[in-house]
Amino acid sequence: MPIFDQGYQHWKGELSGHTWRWLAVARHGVRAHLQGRVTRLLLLLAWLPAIGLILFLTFWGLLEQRSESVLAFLQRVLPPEIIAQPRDYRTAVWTIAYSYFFKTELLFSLFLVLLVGPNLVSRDLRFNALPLYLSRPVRRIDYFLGKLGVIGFFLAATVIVPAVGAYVLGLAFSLDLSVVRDTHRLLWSGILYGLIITISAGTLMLALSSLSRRSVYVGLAWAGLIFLSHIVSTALIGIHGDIERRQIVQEGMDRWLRENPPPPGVEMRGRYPIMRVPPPLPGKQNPAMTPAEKAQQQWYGEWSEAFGELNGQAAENRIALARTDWRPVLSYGTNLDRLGDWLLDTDSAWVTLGQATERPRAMMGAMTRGRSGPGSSGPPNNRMLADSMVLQFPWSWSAGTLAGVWLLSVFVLSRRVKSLDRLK
Amino acid sequence: MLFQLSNITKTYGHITALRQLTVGAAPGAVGLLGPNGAGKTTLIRTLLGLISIDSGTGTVLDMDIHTRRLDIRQRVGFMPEDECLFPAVPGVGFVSYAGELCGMASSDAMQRAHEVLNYIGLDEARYRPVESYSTGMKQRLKLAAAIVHDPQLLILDEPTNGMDPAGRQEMIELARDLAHNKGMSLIFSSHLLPDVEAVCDHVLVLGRGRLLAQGNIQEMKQAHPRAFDVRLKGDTEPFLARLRAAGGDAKSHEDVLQVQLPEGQTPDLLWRIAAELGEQIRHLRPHRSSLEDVFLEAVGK
Repeated sequence: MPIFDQGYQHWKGELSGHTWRWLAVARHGVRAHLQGRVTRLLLLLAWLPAIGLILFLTFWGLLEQRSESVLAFLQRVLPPEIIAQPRDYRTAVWTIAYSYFFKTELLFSLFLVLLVGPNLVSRDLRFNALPLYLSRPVRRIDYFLGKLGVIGFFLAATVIVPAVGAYVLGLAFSLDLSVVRDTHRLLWSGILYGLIITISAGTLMLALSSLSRRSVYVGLAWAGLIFLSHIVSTALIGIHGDIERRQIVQEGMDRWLRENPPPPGVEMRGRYPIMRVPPPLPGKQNPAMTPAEKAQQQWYGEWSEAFGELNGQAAENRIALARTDWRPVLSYGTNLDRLGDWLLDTDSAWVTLGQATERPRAMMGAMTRGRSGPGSSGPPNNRMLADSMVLQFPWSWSAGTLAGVWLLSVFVLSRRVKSLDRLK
Repeated sequence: MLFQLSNITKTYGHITALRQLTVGAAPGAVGLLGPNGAGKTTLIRTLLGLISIDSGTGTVLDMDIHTRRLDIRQRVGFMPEDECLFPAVPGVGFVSYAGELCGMASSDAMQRAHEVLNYIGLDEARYRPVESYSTGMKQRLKLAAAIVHDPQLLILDEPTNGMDPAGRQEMIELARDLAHNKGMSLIFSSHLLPDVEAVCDHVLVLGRGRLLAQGNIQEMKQAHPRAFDVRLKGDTEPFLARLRAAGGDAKSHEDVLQVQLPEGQTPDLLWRIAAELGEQIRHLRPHRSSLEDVFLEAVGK
């Protein structure tokens, strides 16, 4: 019981305009979620990759400054061309560092959305809060933007803010303003990529959240959509790749065996010979072998070479197929990843690094020849790293898929979060 | 004018909720009456600019209902009928959030939320999660959320639904205080006629999407010059027979006769008949319509 009950008093303050009304919804959601211990912990964990990125960029800055201790360490790790002229590889190295940072943060982001998103709309539906929102000067678009803003805050805190912070620190340690000229694209691309993740993942989560009044089901749906789609996509890629590889290698080996039947004394298990004599060593002959054993040894050498070449063809075929393979598009996370690679131009960065690593390998020449295909033999291939590290299917496929998912999410949201005209 | 609507029509598929409705009200406490499906909720939603009407024009607080919907909602407080909550917040958080959604700064909204919760009597429960509130507390909380930004017009849709008698009385007193002592205009929609009568000065009666009656409650309840309530001590049948023979009429309502005198007669006729029959008149007073009579008469038209 108050000591002095002043009753109802009129309020003389100013009400703000309608433009930023969504911010009130977002602020409320952020405040509510920051009270969760698990959210705070995950937010903290999500900063660890940022610390790694900051340390790496600082390290690179010191390398460019020819710091003795850093040079002594990196000489053992990096190709001599990079050690000699680190500034020539600055853009590539920064790009790759940022690409790894974003790949890690993408994973954290998907978990954060799983933690923050499910109850954003579903709980409002369960407690019938929509009439409270829409009977105030809040439009449906303000409601959606506000809810998206909650996800946006957490994703910005894990993706955009650390990326920008690392950039500033990396710039500070490089002591060279030309870094801005070489790497400013990363800053804008990173911010744009963060926005794309926020809008895409945020809208999808809001749509899922509007489909049920129980946030547990929404969380399960999100986990299923993200992680199962990735598992299915990876399995389909693996199965398809294996079938293609087997087809090339088996057909090729069958053909080769028909043209080069094994000499007497060579036992075959399927397409594979079981050797009774030691495998041939390049440039060396064993004088104690009989002519038959020598014939076996020579045939086995030719068999190994044919097998290696076919495996190489299979690997080349795999790379060629990867450029037109639709299966990665089935994975939501891979689509975001592909768009990130395109925005950051990670492919070019790996090609630049490939040049630095391929020249010494080419100089080694035949010494590196073996059964492992063109990866370690053949002419210099500057794209070798890029082909193996970066998704090669067209980025527009991912952009189209994500746009489609976004449109579907907006449609679901507009149907599920009704205006009061359509509410009961 | 508090609001003025002209020729408003609103249909939901084949159902016409408002039919060429033209209605207006001056500032004050206005009761909104009507049977289920009369169009009360649609009228409220039209006033708030929450629905798209098929045709018609109108203003609320001199703001156009088509072009200034958000401005209207900023200056109007609305307490919906449904049970609805902002989840996972304490009472004070609920009210301050409602204030922020109306455009108040966070600190202002929080300070104002405390004031308003004190006023409506939820000060002790302000830090409890709203999910744990009783039905009556939730109703009062919704009222607090509706007045947190000090609106010019407060719209209460069935505010006493589900409340116990004590809570209902408190809600009525709060609404009455806001309307009569704090200068806040009020639209009070309810099925409970005594509640409307206790709070409002004016009443609008809707039926089938049309305006059936409108006016000041006291004027609508005015005394009828030839209608009287009469209670007799003895048998009423001979009295009724003599009255009808004299050209009058009466109907029995519990132990009271609601008598209609013939044209040109005065209550002396009643005394004369009673004297001739040797009956005692124990109660005689001019008949006044109750709000229920007004409502039933309007709806029965």
